[in-house]
Amino acid sequence: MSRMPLPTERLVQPRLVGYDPTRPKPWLERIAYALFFSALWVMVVLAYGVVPTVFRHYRWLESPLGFAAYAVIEAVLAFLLAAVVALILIVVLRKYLGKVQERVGPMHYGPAGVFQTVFDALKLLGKEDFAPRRVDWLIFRLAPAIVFVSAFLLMVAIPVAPGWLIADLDVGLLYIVAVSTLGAYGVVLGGLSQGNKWGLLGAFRAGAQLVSYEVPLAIALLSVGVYAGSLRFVDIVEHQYGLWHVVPLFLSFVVYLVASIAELKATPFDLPEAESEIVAGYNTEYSGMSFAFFFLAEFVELFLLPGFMVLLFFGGWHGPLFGLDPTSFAAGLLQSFYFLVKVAVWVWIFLWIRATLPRFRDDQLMDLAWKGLLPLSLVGLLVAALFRMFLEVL
Amino acid sequence: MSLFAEVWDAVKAVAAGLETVHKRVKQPPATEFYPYKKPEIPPVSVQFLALIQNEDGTDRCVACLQCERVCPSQVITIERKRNPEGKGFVLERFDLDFANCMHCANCVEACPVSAIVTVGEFEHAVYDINFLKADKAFLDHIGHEAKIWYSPKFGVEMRTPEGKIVKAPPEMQPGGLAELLKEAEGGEGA
Repeated sequence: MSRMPLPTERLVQPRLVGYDPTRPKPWLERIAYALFFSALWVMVVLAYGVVPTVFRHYRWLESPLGFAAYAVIEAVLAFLLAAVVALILIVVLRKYLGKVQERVGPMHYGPAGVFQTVFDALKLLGKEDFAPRRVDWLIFRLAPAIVFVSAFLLMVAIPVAPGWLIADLDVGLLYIVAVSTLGAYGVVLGGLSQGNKWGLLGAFRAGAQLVSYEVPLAIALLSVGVYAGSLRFVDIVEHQYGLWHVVPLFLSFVVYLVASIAELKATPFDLPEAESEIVAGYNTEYSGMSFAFFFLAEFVELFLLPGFMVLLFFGGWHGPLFGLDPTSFAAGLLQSFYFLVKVAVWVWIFLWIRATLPRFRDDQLMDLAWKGLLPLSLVGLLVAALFRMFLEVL
Repeated sequence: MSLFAEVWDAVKAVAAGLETVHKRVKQPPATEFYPYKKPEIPPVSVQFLALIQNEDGTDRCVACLQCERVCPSQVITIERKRNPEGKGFVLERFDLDFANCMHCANCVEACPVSAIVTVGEFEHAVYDINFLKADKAFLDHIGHEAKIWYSPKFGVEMRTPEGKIVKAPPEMQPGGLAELLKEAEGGEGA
């Protein structure tokens, strides 16, 4: 065939798959998000409610074998929950940023592109997990595991309803400070081990950011502990039945909000992975599932840090119970629903902030943390101590 | 006090940014949905070239070879023969190699009868470079399919649903012709 084909017989016909964006169906998208939220709720109920309750109910399960089975089931459930959280939050983030920037975001797979992350995850599973020749191999392979395990361990400490928890830690606040700091080790090690200047810069920035935000964050958590008189999450939530902590501890709440955005490495403080400056920062050389683990950990933290915020300042699972017995299973369902709704609202606010603010510079971040947040958190600690004193006097 | 004023300014600035972002969410996207919705390219833009035939199906082209002569890339090849029925010439072959065409539209400007014109059709993509060698049948087809086309001599012309070729109204002509005409009318009235 030597002549040009007529437009009717052209070989490059555009392949139109899935959703037609010229005829948008916003209700379909909303139904998909509602299904996502229900999937998340079901996973939370299974991982925090059903399985631990069953394990605690039957005494014969407390043999070594029963405990091993419980641990394996719980780990699998928690991993599935982490995967569901990441799959949902990534697509929500991309659609939301698209709307803010007058784009459409992902649109081809599923209704309005809501299954895009599923296909992204399948692609990452199929990719070669490549390591450059000059990397420090052991640390390079260990770093994603450290980052993911730290986010994964944080899920243990979170109670979603009275009695619905995996581990009832007496030192819950101390535990989350310790374990979330462990994740920053993974970031720093991953950046330093890859022998790449962008990774090196990302690791430096992650280290500088870590020492800056971690001190105010810890003091803000400490002030909550001082006011509630306990480091245990259940006690802290019980303590808020009269008044949510956000009112008396407003300063600590502000400090926690800013410092947790810094811990998330989200946009106003995304120095370690600033795409426009240092390619991808600490995960420049990662590909395939190693990269996916960094991503997974980031989005699990985007779920967990608002979760801790809700537990510490916004009354956790508090909400109208309609006369149900607070310890019954139906009340547990309802209370975990309230908890998840509060977390969803806070995740939305985090995304909103992420879509709004431009990136800080290193020195601006450290100025803010050391000169702004640290004194503010100390004042917050003082306020918490004063309120506690008045509580005890009254 | 200046510290508190600064902090208050920062809070107000962040709040204003958040409000702006929230307003943006409700606006429709500015995205062009190209393969789903084909954009309307004005015919004045040089994308595809086409040969226009008269309403009775005869060629407008009089085979004067002007386009072949002015073509800087020399991609037009014309073969002609004496018209057996009367004066002049008729086309035997009209080949145009879009692979080497530089889309300067000199041929369109040189054509004395507006036979070769620019159209709004723009989808050139093919798998094989040989497919970009267009012949007379292809150019005629593009001309038949075109609803609207442009040549400097006749301006923008269009085909009515009945198949008649008419000149487009001044609003559709390039160069602000409608505004110029309106100005001229106003001048006469005054």
